[in-house]
Amino acid sequence: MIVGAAFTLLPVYMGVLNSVKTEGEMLNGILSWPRHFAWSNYADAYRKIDFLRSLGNTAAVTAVGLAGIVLFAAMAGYKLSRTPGKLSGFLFGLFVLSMLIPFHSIMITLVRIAKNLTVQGSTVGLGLIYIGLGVSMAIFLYHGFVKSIPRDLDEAAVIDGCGEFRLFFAVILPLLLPVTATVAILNALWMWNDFLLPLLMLTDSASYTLLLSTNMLFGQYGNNDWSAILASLVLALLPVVLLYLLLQKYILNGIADGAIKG
Amino acid sequence: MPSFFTLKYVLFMVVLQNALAILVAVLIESRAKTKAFFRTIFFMPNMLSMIIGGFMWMFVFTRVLPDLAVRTGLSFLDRSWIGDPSFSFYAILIVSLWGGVGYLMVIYIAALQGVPSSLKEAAAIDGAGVWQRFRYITLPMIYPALTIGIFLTLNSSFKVFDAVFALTGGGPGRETQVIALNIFEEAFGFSNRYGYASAKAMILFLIVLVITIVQLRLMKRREVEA
Repeated sequence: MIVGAAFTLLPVYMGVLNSVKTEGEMLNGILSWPRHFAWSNYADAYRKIDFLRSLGNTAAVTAVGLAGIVLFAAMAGYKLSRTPGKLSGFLFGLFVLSMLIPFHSIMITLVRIAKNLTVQGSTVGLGLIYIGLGVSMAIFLYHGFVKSIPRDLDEAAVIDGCGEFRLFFAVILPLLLPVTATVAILNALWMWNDFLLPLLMLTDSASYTLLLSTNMLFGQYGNNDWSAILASLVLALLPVVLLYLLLQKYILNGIADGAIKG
Repeated sequence: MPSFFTLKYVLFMVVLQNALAILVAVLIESRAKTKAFFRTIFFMPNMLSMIIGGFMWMFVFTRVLPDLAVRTGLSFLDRSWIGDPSFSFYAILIVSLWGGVGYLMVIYIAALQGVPSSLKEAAAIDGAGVWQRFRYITLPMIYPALTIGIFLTLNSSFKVFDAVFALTGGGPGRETQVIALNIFEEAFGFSNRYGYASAKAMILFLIVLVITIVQLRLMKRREVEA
């Protein structure tokens, strides 16, 4: 058990440890505790990956995607669940079916379409694409959850004079909070850590996400400046690890829920 | 070549990832005080992108292990982990397991918590040992989770991209190129063969679809009720 835990932490520990060593000290001993801390590696990395801008880009993509997924999937899941019938069944079936298609099977056409719509290269455009890719599973989760909300609530609200929109936003949406948390966690993790789609979509280094900026540091033929690379890897994983330690309970529950119902 | 390499990878992943995840889940569940601590650690890699994980492991493979080999005399550690395809297969496997086991572990822990302890106690009174209790009580009871776990592993390992991209980039040559990487290179590499790459992508989709449907059918049939 302890061996397993040590194995799990090994790369992260080695990365953090060696990120404060100079290249010369690394040659002297990879495993040893650094004799003096070369914080300049971090300053260097911060500049090289343009940390604040990359972080901002990643956050923008995730925020746009998340807002769209939650809004559209909650509305669609609610409506599809509340109005049973052939059309609803057919539409819902289409969404479930699209969950089965691997991303790699559609990525080529997706990139072509994005190019034609001229959203290729912008962070907002990338967020919009994530909405399209993410809604189907979110609709599936919302659809299942809405069934557990009694219809009486809808009827009571309508009798009290609630319109369609007010019914949804003031009565239903707050009740969907538990499943919204699951949807938000699953999708935020996916979009934040996704590499391939941003690699295909973002062509200009000004709009690079954290992962793309970090990837740029690697030379083609293995002459890697590890002290700067490790420092930027640590910078890139810091936000995620902090969030994980803070929100662990919700994240683990969300993952388990999403996997079992999905 | 890419399809054979991918198949080998999928096979290893389905067996090892699920076996390790169940093992870790059982060990964690059997601890009282340090349960939350170990669960936090084992799940941590899942929060990180496999790109970042892959780069960190690349440092371990290219710099830490050779150094360790010199210092400790464990010469088997000093290999060309990234450059030699027969070893880089295991390097890719190790990184993928490192990143994937935590996720399945969470699912198996949830399943283990649903196994009524009265059943295990009854079996213990009847004289069943630790292994027998696991094999004949726990395993059948978490069978639905196993169905999900194998389904998820099949699905993700046929499409593996990030870990291979970060570690070897498919090289040397095309020795460690997986299907997803091959499609990516055909479409967006030098040749820009969109049509050909799309055809490959469709075949990948059909293969994954057929295999997972067969797997779900077979395994659903064997699930039992307590």
